[in-house]
Amino acid sequence: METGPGIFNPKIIAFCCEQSGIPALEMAESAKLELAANLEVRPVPCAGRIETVFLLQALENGADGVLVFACHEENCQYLRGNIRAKSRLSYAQDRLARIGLEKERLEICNLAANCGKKFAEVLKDKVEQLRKLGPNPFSRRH
Amino acid sequence: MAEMKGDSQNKIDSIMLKQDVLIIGGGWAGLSAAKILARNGMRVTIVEKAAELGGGCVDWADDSRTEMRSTIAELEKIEKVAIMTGAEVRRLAGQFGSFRVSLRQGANDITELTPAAVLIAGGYETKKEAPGMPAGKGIVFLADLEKMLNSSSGSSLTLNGRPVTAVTFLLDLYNEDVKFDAWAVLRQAQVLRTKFKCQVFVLCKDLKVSFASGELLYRQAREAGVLFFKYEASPAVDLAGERLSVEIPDYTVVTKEARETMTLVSDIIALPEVCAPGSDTDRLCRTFGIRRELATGYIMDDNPQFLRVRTNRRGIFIAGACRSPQGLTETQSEAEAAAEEILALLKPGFFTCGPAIAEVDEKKCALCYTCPRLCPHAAITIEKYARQNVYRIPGFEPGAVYAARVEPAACYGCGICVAECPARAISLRGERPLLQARARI
Repeated sequence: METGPGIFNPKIIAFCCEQSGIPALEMAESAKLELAANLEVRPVPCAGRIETVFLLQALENGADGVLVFACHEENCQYLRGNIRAKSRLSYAQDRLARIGLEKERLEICNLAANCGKKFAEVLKDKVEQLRKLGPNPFSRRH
Repeated sequence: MAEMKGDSQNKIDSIMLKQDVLIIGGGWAGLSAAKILARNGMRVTIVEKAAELGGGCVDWADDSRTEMRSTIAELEKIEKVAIMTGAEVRRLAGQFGSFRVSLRQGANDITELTPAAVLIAGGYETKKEAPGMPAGKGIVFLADLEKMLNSSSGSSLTLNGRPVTAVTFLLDLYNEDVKFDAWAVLRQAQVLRTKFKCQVFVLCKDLKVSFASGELLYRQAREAGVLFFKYEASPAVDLAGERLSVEIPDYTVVTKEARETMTLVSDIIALPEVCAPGSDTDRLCRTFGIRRELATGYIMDDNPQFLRVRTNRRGIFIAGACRSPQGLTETQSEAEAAAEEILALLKPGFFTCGPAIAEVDEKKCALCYTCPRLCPHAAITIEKYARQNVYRIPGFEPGAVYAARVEPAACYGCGICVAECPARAISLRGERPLLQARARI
């Protein structure tokens, strides 16, 4: 991934389910895979813990993109937590569309605990996508 | 684990655990588990709805019957084991560590128990149904055939006074993925071939031999001369005089055009019974607040890969054929696994809750019933209202708490209720705030 003084490094906030996202992150780190330069990880016990307001406030507080790393569907340790997270995320995307923000800034990614490589790849794709979209205009940071 | 604030460390609850287990179902699974638990000093109560212990496996295999008798004899000698036959569970309240179970034995003999953990070791039901089969006397179900094989002493088999020279087993017609059928068929086919010198055909879709010594049984049957045929579309069964015929295409021919139809004529067509979850599964699941699989109707396990004997509620375990129809070896290993899990949970004598536990702010709770409906582990109750279901003004009765209550011992700390509460009355104890006040970047 290209880095340098002139290149925009989008800030990504990743909400990671402790059953899948956090082990995947640890796996990616131990395999020394390249992760996004400007990444903030927030562990949650289950993706179902993530409230709509978390997602929106993450964007308000300076994130250019928000990712939710949840377990595969029908594989949630708490039965339906990931499906609840998905429905809340799509509600938040709907809110974003109303204020004219790209819904791609919010995304859910379903993975398993052993998907370290996928974790890194999703982040890489996200960084590239956010570079195209540009900085978050609604961020209080700017 | 979530990053916890330091001060939450000294607020961890723990509950005392009695060495007391309730086992529902006195079949192979229940008795095997009871034996292990009782040997390890647990107080065990076995509740069986039928008049006698034994369950569904007593129709099968002589050696298991003798082993079962010795197990029952051993259990009856142990003082800490109580056996209740002809009894059923009426109600279950409370949570892990302090369940309150009311049992009804006979017409109106109510017993109250307070086990720390519950093991559900029920069975499944079989129906002797054969839709689409010609009405005749040649259709025999596996359990009946087993009795015939056990009762006939000579070297020839007769059905309604006529000698039996050929038997066709028809598998996979009504049951999906039941290994027990394959086990029974392979055993019976061998006996028919070697002892009674019958011609034996086995028709199946995919033979399920993924149980202990399954491949061996299959090889022995092949060596004994049992013929196996694989079919795709349901074969046509018809009467052929006094006998029965089955027509199947010869799938071993590669080109479809050259396929010929084979007709297998036999005296008996042996069918597995149609398997279904026990008729009281639904009531049991409602009473216990545990989940059923929607597609099959059996009791759902927590995680099919590595938590097969747990349910969605802490302290309630399942083993045996109430999970899915299975043979004795599988049931045995499941019963052992469940017993070991219960021992590991109860043996320390206490259970430390948490670290993350949901807590309800009683002042904010509006009693909207969202959280008890959503909790995947049935850890939230509004007991006062659930019992009376009437609206009362909060604070009307001094001392009464009108709020949802999270049972710390049953909470897994997933945070689903926290995120979903419309009044924002629930918080995860010790969780670092995920919502930041304002950005200071």
